[in-house]
Parts: sequence; structure tokens; C-alpha cells
Amino acid sequence: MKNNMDDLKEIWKSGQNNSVDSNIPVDEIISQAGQKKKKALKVQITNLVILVLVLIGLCLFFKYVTPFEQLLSKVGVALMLGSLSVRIILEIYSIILSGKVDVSETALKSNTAAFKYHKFRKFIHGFVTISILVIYSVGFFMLTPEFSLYFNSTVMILIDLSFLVAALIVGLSIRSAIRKEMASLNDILRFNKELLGK
Amino acid sequence: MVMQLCLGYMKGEQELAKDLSQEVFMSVWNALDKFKAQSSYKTWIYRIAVNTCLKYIRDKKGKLNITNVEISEEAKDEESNTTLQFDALYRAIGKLSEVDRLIIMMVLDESDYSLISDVMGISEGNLRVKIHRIKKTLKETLENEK
Repeated sequence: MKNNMDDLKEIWKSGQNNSVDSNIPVDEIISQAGQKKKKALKVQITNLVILVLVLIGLCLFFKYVTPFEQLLSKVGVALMLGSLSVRIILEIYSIILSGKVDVSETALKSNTAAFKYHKFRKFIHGFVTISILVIYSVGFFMLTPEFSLYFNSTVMILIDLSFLVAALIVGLSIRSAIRKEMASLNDILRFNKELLGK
Repeated sequence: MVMQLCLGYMKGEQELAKDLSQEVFMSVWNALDKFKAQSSYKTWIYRIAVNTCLKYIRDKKGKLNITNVEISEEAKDEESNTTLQFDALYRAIGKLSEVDRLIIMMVLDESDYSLISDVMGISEGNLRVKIHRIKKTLKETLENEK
């Protein structure tokens, strides 16, 4: 095996001629890249649309199906809708922020911008989402006194239990999202340390 | 240039390299309006390719199982000496860290140090030290393969 740098460059060049250009359909890759871009945009928009639809659904539900009369319930509704609205606004801000990570910058600058982005994502997935979940839950339980005027205790228990199960599922997804962001942050730190030779 | 960088980064895994190069092309399209001609097209595309490669590993964490492509004895008999040397080089590059892998591939692509330091965002002095260390590691790995 040759290992002089010039020889390695020669091998690298011959490999480029032999394997890369002849085997890989570049046109196909470019067309698939376009499809991928559309798909990624679709996923982001779909997530936002789902959140907005939930918000609209809840607004309509509270207005037409169960128009609450007690002050406690009205505050509860405000907490639920308010927390969900904040989540939607932060999701939009997060999408805008992700677009600001400029991949045409140097690796060090782009990594530093990515670090800020993932730190923000960790804050959103962690403190903010947990706070929103707590506020949303408090809001929900503030509705129960008025709910209990119309439903018997068995139905009330079922409603509360199903809410707790949903909250648990959301809690688990928060944990997994935080872990993902932490892993990204660790990777970025490692890349930056390698770049700076620390 | 992009395909070979992706192939080397993905340790010779063709499918993963194709997927990664799609991401690179996507990033190029998204960044087209940001090209200010302050650097050459080569530097600009290299920057996007390098950043996308680093991002790809972060985004696909846990979903990727990249192993160096091993060559069977049968295949070894059929392949030319150059191809075998090329595969050995891929495997050796694959054993380097992500950042080192990207740097050495630009060196092998005969990019000058000012371009590489402009892509990575580090000083030329720092880069020279790094390249010296990477070459040493690469040489040792290749010698162990003999």
C-alpha cells in the first residue's frame, strides 16, 4: 500500500474517475433533492397546521359545545388556549431561527449558530414546553368543577384519567426531544473543540 | 467533488452518500441567494458540503449505522490494484473523526490550505498542525492494513 501523500492523492483521483462519476446518477440525486426539500417543508407546515387546528377546535368547542359560565372555568379556558397559542408562536419562531443557521458560512461559524439554535430548542422543549404543559393542565383541571355539574363522577374520573395519560405521553415525547437536542449540542461542542484543536 | 466527499464521509456507503449528497444539493439551492461572490464557488460549495455533512450526523444520530465497507476475498481477486488501494484509503479515512475526515478529503482533492481554512473557519497555522497530525494517523492506519 502506498502511503506517500502524493500517491494517496493519485489514488483518490483515480477513485473519483472510476467509482464516483460512472456509478452515481447525479441528475437523479438533484431531482430527489428537490422532492426532499418539498417533503421537509411539508412536515414543518403539517406540524403547525395540526397545532393551529387543535387551537381552533378548542376555541369552537369552548364557545359552542361547552360555553362555560363560572369565572374559574373561564380562567381555565384562557390558560389552556393561551399556553397553546404561545407554543404555536414559539414553533413559528423556531422555524424562522432554523433558517438563520447559514450553511454557507465557515464550519466554525455555522456550528456556533447551530449551537445557539439547539440551545434555544432545548429551552423550548424543556422549560417552556414543561411550563406550557403545567399551565395547560392547571387550566384543564380548573374546568372540572363546572364539568362535574353536568357529568357523573365515573365520567369525570375517565376524563381526568385520559387527560393524565395524554399528559404522560406528551411528557415522554418532551424527554425524548430534550435528549435529541442534548445529543446535537454535544456533537456541535465536539466538532468545535476538534476544529479549534482543544 | 460533492459526491466523493459524501462517499468518504460515509465511509464508502453508496446509499448513505447518495442521501447525504441530496441534502448537500438541497442546502446549495436554499443558499443560492446568499452567494455574494466574496469567495470562489468551490469554497462556497465546500462550506455547504462540510456543514451539511456535520449537520447530517447530528440529525440522523441513532438512525445511522455506518460501518466501513469491507471487501470479500473473492471481490479482492476481481478488483484491480488501484480499486483495492482506493477502498483501503476509504477505510482509513473512515477511521478518522468527522472533522478530520472532511479536512483530509479536501487535502486529497488538492485544495490549497487557504481554501480549507476558509471553509473550516480556522487559522492556517492551526490547520497545518491538524493536517500534519491527520496525515500521520492516516499513514499509520494504512501501514497497519498492509
